[in-house]
Amino acid sequence: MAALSSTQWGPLIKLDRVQVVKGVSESAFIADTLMNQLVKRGEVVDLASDGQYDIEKLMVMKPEVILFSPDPTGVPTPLKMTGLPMIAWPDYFETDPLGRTEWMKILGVLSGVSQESVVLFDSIATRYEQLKSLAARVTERPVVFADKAFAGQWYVPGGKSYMSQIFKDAGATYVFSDNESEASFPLDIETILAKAGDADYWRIAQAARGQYGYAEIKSENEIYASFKAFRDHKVIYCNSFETAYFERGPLEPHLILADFIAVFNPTLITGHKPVFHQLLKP
Amino acid sequence: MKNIINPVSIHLIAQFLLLFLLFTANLFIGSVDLPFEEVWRVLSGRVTNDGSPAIHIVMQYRLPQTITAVIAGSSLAVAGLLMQTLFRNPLADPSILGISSGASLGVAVLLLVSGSLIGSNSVADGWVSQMGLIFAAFIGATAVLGLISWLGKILSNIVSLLIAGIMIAYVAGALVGIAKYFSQKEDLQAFVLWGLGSFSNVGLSQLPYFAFGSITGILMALLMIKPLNLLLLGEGYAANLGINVKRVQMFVLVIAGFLTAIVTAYAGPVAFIGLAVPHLARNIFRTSNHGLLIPAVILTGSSLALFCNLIARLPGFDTSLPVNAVTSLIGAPIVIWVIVRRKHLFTNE
Repeated sequence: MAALSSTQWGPLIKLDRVQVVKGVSESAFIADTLMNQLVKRGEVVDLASDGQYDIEKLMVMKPEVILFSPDPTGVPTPLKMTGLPMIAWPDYFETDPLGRTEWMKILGVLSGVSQESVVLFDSIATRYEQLKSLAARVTERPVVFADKAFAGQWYVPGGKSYMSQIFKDAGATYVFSDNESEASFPLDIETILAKAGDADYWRIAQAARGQYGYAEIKSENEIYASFKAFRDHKVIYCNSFETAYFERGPLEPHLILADFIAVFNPTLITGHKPVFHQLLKP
Repeated sequence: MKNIINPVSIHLIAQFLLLFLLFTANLFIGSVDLPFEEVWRVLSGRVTNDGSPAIHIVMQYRLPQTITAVIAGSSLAVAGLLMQTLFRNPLADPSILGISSGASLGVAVLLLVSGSLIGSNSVADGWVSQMGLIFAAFIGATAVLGLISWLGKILSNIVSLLIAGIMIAYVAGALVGIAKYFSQKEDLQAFVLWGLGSFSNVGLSQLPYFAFGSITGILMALLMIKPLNLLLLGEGYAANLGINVKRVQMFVLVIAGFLTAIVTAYAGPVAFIGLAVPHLARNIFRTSNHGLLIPAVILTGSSLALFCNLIARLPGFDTSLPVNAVTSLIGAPIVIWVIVRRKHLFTNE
């Protein structure tokens, strides 16, 4: 199969069925070590780079099925021209963390390990629910906000988004939880300052390839130093390149949740080793 | 006494008051509805604790943004005036020689190309700092300016140079298009956002550099008042009066180009102010004397930029509109209004 979305690899690797993947996309951005090796060894072919499909390679490969992320027009026209069987993979539309994980069941069916994928999903769901009910008991919920500004606009996760749900499940209050949007939306920087200026925590996820700390954050935009979470050194940071967060996170939301709980309420989970997120050290 | 109340002085005083009013309004009004008294307490230095969001919003966000709007508006207006006089063409504006396209190309190389080379989304990955963007835009813009100046030495007349400049803009645009075609959607979105312009990119600590560059350019322009007036009379006439036309033209070009480069570097491409303000000022002051026009476009340009910035961040929306869109939305009707009123557009009276 051609698994063009990076979120499809994690479940297949976990189910030990990664050998069914013959084609991927954007190999320059792969964070997973195993997938990187497969591409390097030529066992998996890169079918799209810089946002452009290599239709000829795809037609030579003739995968039994193409799993792709739909664009606003539905099926991207170049893919349609191949005439090959396709399944749209809009997993990122799921705002429920476990809902996103559940897509692994389809991968299980497609790769012939349906039973195993159900078992795996159930164990993840159980662990997630356990952690969630653990965090539900907290009496003090810290306030958290997320992401950064660019060119005057600050895109924040919507109040009904995936991130908002995880913050809530982890025992925190997301600043924009009242918002009705499922997607990210832009706000003026001063709106963020007014609403999140004295929030307790600030979550940043990005794929930095070098030293990243408070000095780097401030050098990006001086206004960041005005946030209490910055001054108190309460930035929750995820280096998505080192942790393969965007590839593995949707598969293992219980680990994302555990990381957050360990930051928000350290007494609830003792001895937790951060997987994706941790407090950025001063 | 008669001198003080002549129409020019009244207009200058009115423009100055308007500028002051808009400057103040930009500090008091924004997406966040801050109480009037609180802003006043912050401005008068009576709020000093870090706990109040008002002090951060006003001092760290609105103040640098407002000053940036003034610097950008006045610089672009002066650059636009110089270009219109240089080419004796009412449609000339600071971007006409491809200098802002050069800035776009510099930013595209940084945001779109370098990301693919090292396999990372430049913006999502956070390795593109504000300084990096400013630097890339400035390098791109000055590279085009250098090319234009070099062509200016070779080409015999200014119209050929204008055509060469437009061609350079096309080439830069095409290269940007290729970079956009082959880039990740996150980087593409960042590039689009940069292209919409913003007065909030300049932090307080960077403001002095921006101001210094811009004021230097404007002071240079003020030194050119007499030759600029002579240029309006035509190249032959100016040459007869002992002006080295070619040298003056190149000097004017470099000043206008430098002003455009520095504003684009710090605020992104801001459209229309450079085109609309000289017409507005000529219409208000009824003059083509650069001794009056340059101060006039500085005042009018600052006010228009402040007005656009105010419109872009009206309270009650939580979000702000892109500055570039607002300047065009307001600038275009202004130019039409001037044409309708005057039935004609002038570069000289």
